[in-house]
Amino acid sequence: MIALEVKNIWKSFGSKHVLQGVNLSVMEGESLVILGGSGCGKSVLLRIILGMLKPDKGSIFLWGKDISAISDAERRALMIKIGMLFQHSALFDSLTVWENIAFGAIASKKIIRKEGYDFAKKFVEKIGLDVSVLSLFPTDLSGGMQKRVGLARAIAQQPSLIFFDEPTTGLDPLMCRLIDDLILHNVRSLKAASVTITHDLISAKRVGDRVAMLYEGRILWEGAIDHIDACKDPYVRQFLEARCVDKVL
Amino acid sequence: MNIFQGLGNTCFKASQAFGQWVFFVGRALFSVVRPPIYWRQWGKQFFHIAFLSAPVVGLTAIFTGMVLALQSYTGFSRFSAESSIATVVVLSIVRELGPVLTGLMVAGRVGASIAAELGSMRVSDQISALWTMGVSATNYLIVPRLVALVVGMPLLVLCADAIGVFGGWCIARFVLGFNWILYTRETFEFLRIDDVMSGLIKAAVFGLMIASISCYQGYYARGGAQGVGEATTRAVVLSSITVLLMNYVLTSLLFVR
Repeated sequence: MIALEVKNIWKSFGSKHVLQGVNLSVMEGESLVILGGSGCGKSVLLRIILGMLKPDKGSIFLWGKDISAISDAERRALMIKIGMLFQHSALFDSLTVWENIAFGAIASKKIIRKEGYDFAKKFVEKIGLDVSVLSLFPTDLSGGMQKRVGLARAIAQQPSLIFFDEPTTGLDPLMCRLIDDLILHNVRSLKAASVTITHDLISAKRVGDRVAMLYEGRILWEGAIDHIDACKDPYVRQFLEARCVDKVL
Repeated sequence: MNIFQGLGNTCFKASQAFGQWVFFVGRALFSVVRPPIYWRQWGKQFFHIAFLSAPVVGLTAIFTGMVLALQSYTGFSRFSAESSIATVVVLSIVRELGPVLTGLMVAGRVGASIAAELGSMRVSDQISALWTMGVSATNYLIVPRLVALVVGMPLLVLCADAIGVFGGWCIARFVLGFNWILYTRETFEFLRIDDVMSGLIKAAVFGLMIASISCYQGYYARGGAQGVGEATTRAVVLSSITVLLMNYVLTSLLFVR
């Protein structure tokens, strides 16, 4: 079954046409990477998929349901099946680590607050952090640790579809590798579909089954991750080889 | 852009923001009775907003009551009307100074805190994170603050009234040498329940205004740290001006017949 379908999405801000007819689909259990340079519309596309922005034209289908045609309550129920790791983790800084991880489960009444600590403990172990971090606040953690806690929060509700927005941005190569491995391991163990938005090619090759290259608001190239090196498109080649040229193609 | 275009643009943006604020308040009020209700958040916000504002409101009230007694004595003694001081102090505090000064103090203390907190949450994607977890930001963030202020403000004003009147009583008793039994009797002689109730109605309206303006400014903050700073400033300035404006409107509705 198709977990996510993006159909002919258009979005402009004033005279700037950010997305111009984007089409994508992600099957259940599949891992799609959306690659693209800075400012190509990746984050706008993600916000539209999640329903935070309305497209000018086009539709988003989650498990066959058009998200623009569902009620607020239906949308919230659908969101419980979705996990999201934000670029800067977006942990609630007024809550402790365990409260952050258990937040969704408590809010959706899957567990009661008293069970939250033990619930969060399981996920902290899954992401390789010590249980002593559970009582700390996000501001007490390093960037890499925050990212891992963000990942724990994203997987805590056992989602069927997980979004990763620039998961390795701002991290050192070792931490990037660790985050990629954790993403891969947890997504596979959940048998979830995933969409990773990144401009980090190494990371994309580690976590993706399929890649879509976004350029000037359009999907320029789409295919299996193993085939991207053989792609002949000039912009994709430029992106892959990280060539510095006077003009971006 | 000429001056008229600039003026038109500003008016257009202001009306757009006002319309958005009206919808924002309407949605928040509707959500007060619409589940899910986050009781823990309600309690937490009530503690932070109402309970922790009590010391600053109390200090403002006691000094205001004391100054009012001294000033009334200075003025009234010129035409031997010292016996009216108790009535002037109690009516001024209960009808006007209690609600208005509490409103201004809370607008400064709480309005800034709400706008800064929600603004930081907005620019660091924490509000988006709530959305992705299927949690209504209105129910989780806005409603608890709105309820805390609408319920908490009248309670704070009641405290301010009592403390302010007590401040005036202390000055009359210990500085001006009034007979305290007589002063106490005069304090309550002309005070009616309507006077207290009007102050409490004002307080609830001020609470609604401060909460809705501050939440709105924080919720729609844009542009990083600078944007949060600007939203905080706007929240305090607009809340304070609205308290003064609504005080006039409510006074004319409640007292001028």
